[in-house]
Amino acid sequence: MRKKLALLGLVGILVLGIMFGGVALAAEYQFTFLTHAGEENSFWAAVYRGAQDAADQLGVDFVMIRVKEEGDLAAQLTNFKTTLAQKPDGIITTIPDPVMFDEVIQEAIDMGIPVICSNTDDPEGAEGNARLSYIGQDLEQAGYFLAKELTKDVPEGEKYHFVVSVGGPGLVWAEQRAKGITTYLEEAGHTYERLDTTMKMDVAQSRIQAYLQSHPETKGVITVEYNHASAAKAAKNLGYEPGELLIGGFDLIPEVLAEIKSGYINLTIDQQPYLQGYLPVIQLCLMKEYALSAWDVNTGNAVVDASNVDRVLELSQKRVR
Amino acid sequence: MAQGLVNVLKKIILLREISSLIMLLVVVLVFFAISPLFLSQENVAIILEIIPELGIVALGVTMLMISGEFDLSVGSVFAFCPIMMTMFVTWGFPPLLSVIIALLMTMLLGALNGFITLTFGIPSFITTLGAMLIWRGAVLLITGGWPPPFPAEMSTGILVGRLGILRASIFWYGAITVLLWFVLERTDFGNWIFATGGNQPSARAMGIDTHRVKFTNFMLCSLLAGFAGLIQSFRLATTLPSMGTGLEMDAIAATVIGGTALSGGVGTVIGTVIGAFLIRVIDNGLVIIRAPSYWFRVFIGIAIILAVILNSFVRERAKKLRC
Repeated sequence: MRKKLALLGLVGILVLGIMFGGVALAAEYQFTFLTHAGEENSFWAAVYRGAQDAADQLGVDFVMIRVKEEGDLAAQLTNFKTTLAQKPDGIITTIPDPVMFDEVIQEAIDMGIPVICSNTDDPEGAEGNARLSYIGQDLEQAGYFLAKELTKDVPEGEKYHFVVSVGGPGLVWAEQRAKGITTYLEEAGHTYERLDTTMKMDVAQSRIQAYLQSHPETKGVITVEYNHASAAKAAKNLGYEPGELLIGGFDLIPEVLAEIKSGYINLTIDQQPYLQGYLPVIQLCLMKEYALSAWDVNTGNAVVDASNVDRVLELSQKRVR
Repeated sequence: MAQGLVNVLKKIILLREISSLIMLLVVVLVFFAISPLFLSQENVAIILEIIPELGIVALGVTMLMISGEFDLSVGSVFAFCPIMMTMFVTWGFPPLLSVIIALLMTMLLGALNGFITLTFGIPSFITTLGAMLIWRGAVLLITGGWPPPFPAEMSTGILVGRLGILRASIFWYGAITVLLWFVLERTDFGNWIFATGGNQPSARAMGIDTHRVKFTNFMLCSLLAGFAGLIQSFRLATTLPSMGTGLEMDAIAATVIGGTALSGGVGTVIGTVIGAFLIRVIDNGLVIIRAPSYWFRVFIGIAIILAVILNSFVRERAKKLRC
């Protein structure tokens, strides 16, 4: 019996080895995507879908490595170093800290491994980091744009109070968007308060609900992430009518689209995550295959509101938008 | 001759750490079989670089758990200590003094956990769950979400300086392990810890001040968490308010995998070291073999359950062998 078990174990190990090893040999290029996003972050499903689609089309061996806890940069850095030890043909990464990733990315470039930045860039861009290109949103400008779009129908001369939900306080992407939002609000003379809502939608909902209850003068919720879906649910629970609060934020996840349909969310800014996964893989492949250089792409300020939500909803079910 | 061999084998099987050690060896072999890069010099250096941070936290958790208490706040204290250190330097204190004050403060946080738990007789699970939220919140409040810049004048060599492929932190980890092993296995205080966690009323009847034993371990656990936080922030030359989020779960997992009983009274320092290695090796190995990281939780979950089953199996066997 014991011998059988031992034999079974050995065979299992061998099969696993051949499986993983075999896959690695069959593919021409190995690309690794490293992100600061936690495994429960639903936004990243579209990035992954984009990258995986590109990898499938081009016959590339692709893997995305996330961290266990949202925004655990120490873990992302360790994953980066481990990836370097594994020497892939190309690396795609987010750069959620202005300095922490400078050294390892330089090291990768020096080793001849191209590094492309996706989704979140060094605040100083190419000046601050050796990455070859950035494919994503101009975060601060997008925050500014969101606040401006959302408040464009506020009657002349009226000043509103907003709550600005910051789900990842201290993280570059969140703070840059928040900066853009608050810059516009200050310019326009509106008042605001920042609220740490976490990236967990249930927690965000209860915090926003509590804020709205204790600050009934609040006229709107602006979120640097997808917590405007939580804000919509909070507004519903508190008996607000659709449109009574101005609610806007970032990204398309099913909950956000549903609340645009219900009329509680005015608009959401789509940074087109599918492209943030798809394009870097294409770029790396072209760079490897034809020695082309890397190039930046602004994946956009796509506005989704009641006018185009149906079409987007359709595509969202395919996890493309 | 044959008898001697049997005795050696018996001794090995009787080792309390044997089940976690076997698991670690199997995992290492599997990863190595899939990707030989796993045992490359670069990769071993990476594992040894990250292990002390979890490892030191887990040692404190182990000591406390053997004495019958929990600390869920270690992850928050892990961030609290380096942030306070940075703030003190920003306020003009000399670097070394800032480090010392920050460490004393983390000890105070542990003392507070102990005081509240023991005075009001509430479960430490509750006290430290509260403390976990309070100190994480405090860190965010103090920094306003933005990490304060790491003090440039801080010399980091003593904690994380490089010696070949190693960093100084691995030696600190080794020294702390040896020290705690000695305390636990060779001193009266170590016996008191086991007695307190194993059966508190009879320990008290024997004249052991069980409150003092627990109180000391609360402080020790917190201090080690803060110290490990300093190591990470020195290594990364940054202090992030999000540092150590979820670390308490990894530390408890390492402790339990290493054979420490959740109910107290049983446990070893070496087992926890093996447990910490197992967790970080799985973490690292999955990246090396290019497996989706979703597998991590699955594997750690299996490892925890398997380790506890194996431990109780080994304990039963040990009883029979001794008879």
